[in-house]
Amino acid sequence: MNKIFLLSFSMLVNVVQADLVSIDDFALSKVDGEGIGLVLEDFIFNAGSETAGGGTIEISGLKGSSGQDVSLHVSQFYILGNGSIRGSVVDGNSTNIGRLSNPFNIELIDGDDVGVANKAVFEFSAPKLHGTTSVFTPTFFNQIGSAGDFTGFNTALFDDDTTTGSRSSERPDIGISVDLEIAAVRTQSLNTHYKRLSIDGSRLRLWGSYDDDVAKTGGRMEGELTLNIYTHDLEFFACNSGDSFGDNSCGTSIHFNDFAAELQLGWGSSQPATFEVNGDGNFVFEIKSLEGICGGANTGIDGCTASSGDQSTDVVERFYSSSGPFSNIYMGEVKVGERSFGNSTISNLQIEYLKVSSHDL
Amino acid sequence: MINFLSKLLLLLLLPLPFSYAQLVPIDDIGMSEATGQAFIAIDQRTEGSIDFTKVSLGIDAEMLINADLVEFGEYARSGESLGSDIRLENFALGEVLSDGTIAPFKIKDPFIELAFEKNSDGSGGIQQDLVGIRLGFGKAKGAFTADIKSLSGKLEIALEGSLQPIKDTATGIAWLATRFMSGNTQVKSTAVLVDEVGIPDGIRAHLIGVPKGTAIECAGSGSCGLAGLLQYFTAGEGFSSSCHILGIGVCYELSTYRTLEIGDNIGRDSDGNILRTANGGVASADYSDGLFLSFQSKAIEWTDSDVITHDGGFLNIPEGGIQVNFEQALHGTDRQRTRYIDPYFN
Repeated sequence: MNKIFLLSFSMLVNVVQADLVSIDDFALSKVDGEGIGLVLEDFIFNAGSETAGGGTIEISGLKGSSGQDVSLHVSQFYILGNGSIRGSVVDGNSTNIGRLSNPFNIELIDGDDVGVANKAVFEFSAPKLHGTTSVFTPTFFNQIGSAGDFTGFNTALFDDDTTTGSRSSERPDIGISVDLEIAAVRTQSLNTHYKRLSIDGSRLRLWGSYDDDVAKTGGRMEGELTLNIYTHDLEFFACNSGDSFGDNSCGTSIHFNDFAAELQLGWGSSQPATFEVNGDGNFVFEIKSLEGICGGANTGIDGCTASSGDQSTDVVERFYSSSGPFSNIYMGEVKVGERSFGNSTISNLQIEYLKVSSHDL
Repeated sequence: MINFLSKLLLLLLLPLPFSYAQLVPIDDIGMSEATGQAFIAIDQRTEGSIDFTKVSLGIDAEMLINADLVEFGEYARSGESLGSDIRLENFALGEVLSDGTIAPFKIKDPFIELAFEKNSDGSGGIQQDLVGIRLGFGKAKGAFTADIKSLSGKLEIALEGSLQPIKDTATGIAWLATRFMSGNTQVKSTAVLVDEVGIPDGIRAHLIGVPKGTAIECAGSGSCGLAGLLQYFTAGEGFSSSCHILGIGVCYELSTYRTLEIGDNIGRDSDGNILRTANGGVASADYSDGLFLSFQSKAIEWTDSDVITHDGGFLNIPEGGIQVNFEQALHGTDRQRTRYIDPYFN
């Protein structure tokens, strides 16, 4: 019994005296990155309209530009297996969020491997891309004279029954129907539906940083977000308030068919992204400016490469190469009502600087 | 060796040091102090048979972005030779100045707007057909850079500056007519999207020019001497041929305007050149309203805009925000640096 008390006492003391210290390279090299996998199998979520006094999701406190009260009443919010026909097929129509062989993952990884030197990095990642590293083939990468048509889109991700058939059960239909209430009058039901949505390859990485690494002051959290969105169809339409898909008041839609977006926001410690909330309650999202990356006056047609030859030059050259951060967006077909407006593309978008801050309207 | 009882007791005791804090429900007073910043506003209005629902975002954004290609509406369109409604190559918003600092492109209060047409549902009721979607940039200012290969929408450029560049390029009867006009005379006109014969055409345009029937006029309030005679000669009419006034070409390839500075009240010198700071930034400019991109299946006049869009993709670049002098009109505008390693610069 004495042993028990002694052990308990000593453990408590140890907890109190523990201190967080930086993990050194040697210890970091032993981090194996097993992490925690998250999988939800046979998953069905369907929040419907109010029944027998039951609760609903309601967003209030919004205003119109002239000050009238605005509320959003969520009449349906669903995550179902594909083929749900805008959320109308619920029973037995389950989906999988990840799978055991390719789950959502939470893990601590070695920052040296992902452009954040000498730090451990927290990573939350969606299942890896299946069978391809990207649905896009990069286009012309800033080379004069080689601009051509964007032909690099790989539609394999949408071909469920062929190359990626085993993953089709992991691409849910997701939708939300919202009744819009303005000045106490419900005016319209707005509907958004994703068919076969996938965010494979997405990941969020977070790490700590200081303004002054030596004095350890100005501490903050930094990160980078890789956000991939693939869907066979993103559809918007409207009905009279209280109505839903299938009712006569629901009119023609706007469709974004075969929509794919691969966005990279932030690029390791070279260009971290930050998200902060000010004291006044507004948020600031920033992707760090590349200002100063040249290490000298930035004159001359070659920009950075003409003014410095140090490591920073390598960083900027990598930024503008295929290993740099870039985003692509593709819509196979934009359709308004019965009119088709073909495909649309934003290719090799690079963000040298972005700052977004909110304010009251 | 720790036996089972030891392990059990240890597990029970270990959480104790961490259990002082407790999650408790927030009470009404506490809840009432949650501000819930209202950075979203939702409005509806009806105009004729069209309902509009507009979601405005209280957001200030500043950016320097580049893209190899921005293309909207690539499909075969009857009567058009170009393949896309909008095709911008080597696109950028914002610029890098000569000292390496960034002059960001700025937008304020962007919004998304949907347009619905009320039609019969065939059984005595009304259905709401979605006929358009618009992404508005709210207020905007900064450098808009691109090789504009095809543009559908509205772009209006104010031409204003000295007559000298016109005199320098004039030949034939125009040379004779302008010999006795002072090169310092300030003249002006307006250029819009046109087709090859100078007719205003905002669908898949690759030319911008003084439209048929429009003249170059005296810019000052008083007399501008013999240059005032120019107002009697209009593009494509009388003594002028298509896209010409007295032999002077007045239609220009959009792609020669490589950087357009968007903004109102941009500071300019007497020749119409933008006043710039030592590092090349625009010295002064206000925000300009009206930059938006939309897709619609029919002509729509959107909220807070007097621009009537046509079907398809439509990019509206604000009226009055862009001005070039005649030197720039004839020879294009330089491309500003938009990347830190920039193969397209100038």
